[in-house]
Amino acid sequence: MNEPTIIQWILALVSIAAALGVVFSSNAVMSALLLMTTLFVTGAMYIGLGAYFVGAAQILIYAGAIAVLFVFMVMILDLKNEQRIFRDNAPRAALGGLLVLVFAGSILISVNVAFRGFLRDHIKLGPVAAEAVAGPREISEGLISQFMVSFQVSNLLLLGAVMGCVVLARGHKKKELPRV
Amino acid sequence: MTEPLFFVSIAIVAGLILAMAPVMLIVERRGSAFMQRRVGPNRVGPLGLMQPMADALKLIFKEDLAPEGSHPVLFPAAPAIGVVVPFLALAAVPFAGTVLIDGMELPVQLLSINVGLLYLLAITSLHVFSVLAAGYSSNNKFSLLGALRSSSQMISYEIAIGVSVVSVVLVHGTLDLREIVVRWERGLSWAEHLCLVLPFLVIWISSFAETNRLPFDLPEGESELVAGYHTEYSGLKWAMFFLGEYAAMTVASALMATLFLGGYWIPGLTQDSLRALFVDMGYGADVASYLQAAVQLGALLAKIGFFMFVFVWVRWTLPRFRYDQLMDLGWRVLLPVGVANAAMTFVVTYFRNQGILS
Amino acid sequence: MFEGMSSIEMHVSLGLILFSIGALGVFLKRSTLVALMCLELMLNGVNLVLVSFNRFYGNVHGYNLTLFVILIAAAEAAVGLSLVVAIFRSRGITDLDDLRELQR
Repeated sequence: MNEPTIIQWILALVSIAAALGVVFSSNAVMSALLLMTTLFVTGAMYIGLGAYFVGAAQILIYAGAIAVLFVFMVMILDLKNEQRIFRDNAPRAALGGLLVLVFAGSILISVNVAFRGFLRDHIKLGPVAAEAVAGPREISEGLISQFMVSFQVSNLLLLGAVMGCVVLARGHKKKELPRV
Repeated sequence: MTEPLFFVSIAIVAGLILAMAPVMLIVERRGSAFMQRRVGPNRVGPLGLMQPMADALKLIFKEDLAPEGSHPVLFPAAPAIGVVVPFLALAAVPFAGTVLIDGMELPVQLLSINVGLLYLLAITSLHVFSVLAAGYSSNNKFSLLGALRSSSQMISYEIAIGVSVVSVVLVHGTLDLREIVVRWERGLSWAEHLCLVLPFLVIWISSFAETNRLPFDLPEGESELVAGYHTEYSGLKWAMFFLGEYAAMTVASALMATLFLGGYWIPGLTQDSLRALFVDMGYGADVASYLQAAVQLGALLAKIGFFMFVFVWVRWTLPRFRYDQLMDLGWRVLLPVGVANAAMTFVVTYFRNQGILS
Repeated sequence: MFEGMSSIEMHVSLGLILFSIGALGVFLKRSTLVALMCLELMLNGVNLVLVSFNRFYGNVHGYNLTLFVILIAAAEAAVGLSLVVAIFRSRGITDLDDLRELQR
């Protein structure tokens, strides 16, 4: 089947490097900007995979709005460069790290085995979802027919999130006692 | 990548942005001087036309400073992001119709995706990071203030643009910029024209805010913040910001030209009639298509040039908005206007699809 | 391991790796804000898996699900960040080690 091109390898490496930078950086602004880089590179990978609408939406929403929100928050909270960037509890950290490595490693191995094994014939058929199948029209048809309930519920969720943010950000004003 | 037009398209994008800076420098300085009844630079070369070269040489040889305590990676990266983002955005703009090469009709567009408009909006929303990185990495409170002001202004007006784009997409029925130009070629009904007037105005005003141009350039307000987020930049890095600002203006002009003025479309001429014109003059089919593409590119450049001139014109005509007036305009005027226009466009589109209102 | 790797396998593995890097960050990071960023990384990894698998179907269900995930991630990031702001406003710290009122 089609091998990943050199550009896809480079994008993959850049996204991994940026993700590691998010975790291991001592400066919170650097973490936020590297998060933007990871999200942008993932959007580029989506566009490279032929998912143009999802890629543009990823760059618009994730990299262009959520990451900006994170950078704003970091600058507003004015976090200093940290000397200790990881949590104190060493046994907990070791257990967490071990669990993640075991989980990720096992799934990676099983993915490798699956794709060389029983999925090999399935993927030999080649990619199907291309521009003609995955345009905005088809995606929106799915949104209003099959995924209508999820669509409406997520709209309500967004409305609730907006209201929640306004309430949380407004702060707590102490009520003035009326002067007599 | 194996398309023969790939390098030509890259050349068009790069040439457009790199040529726009010197041209705009001349237009800005001589044009603003003309508007202010003075002369402007006229010493270097005939009519001062070599002024950009003098400016470029000066900026190249200036000392490349970095303030003490500035972030070593972010400080040089910010102007780089500011230049790269408009390049990426211009990739989706259709520069001409199709060109006939080896019997194949190839579009003169670097990135022919079916969601070009959404991609362009997405890429322009990344310009905020250049501003934020510049302001933060300068280790200067005024730069940070200017950066925060500028970026909050930019994201506010992005929303106004997004809502107006909804009306535009409803009228044209597609997110593909090339298809939008084709629809302009085909012609729109009066009701559709009506639905596009307000989005045009809203996107035009918001473009001034997106590119931090007067009357929305409080972040660079000289009397208040020295030079805002690019205070600490000198020499070639400042030239990159300068180039990036004009490149962003070019992207905004190209977007407005494509969505509202028909892009490379020349009223009265379609691609076929234009090609037939050149074939009648005696050129072969291939060369006729090249000439047709060149004429269409010229039309697009004329429209972009018109918008760029208006950018300069407004800069030297209107006074600066105060910050709260600015945010007020974005959230409480342009956004409701965009939403109301979208509602009107829903109705018009519904009737259009039913066959009434043509 | 890398020879004969198809593009979809590479992207699925990449999504998994991004997910696990994000998970490590959520477990280990001290700052609440950066932990939220790593949460976004996890969601992004899942999205990558969804999108890369959807290439092999004739429908766009994977893309729809991806859009829902992006949507919900946006809402969750907004609310999470307002929570962080509210905590910072009332306590002045965002260290996860110092915010332990719910612990015994």
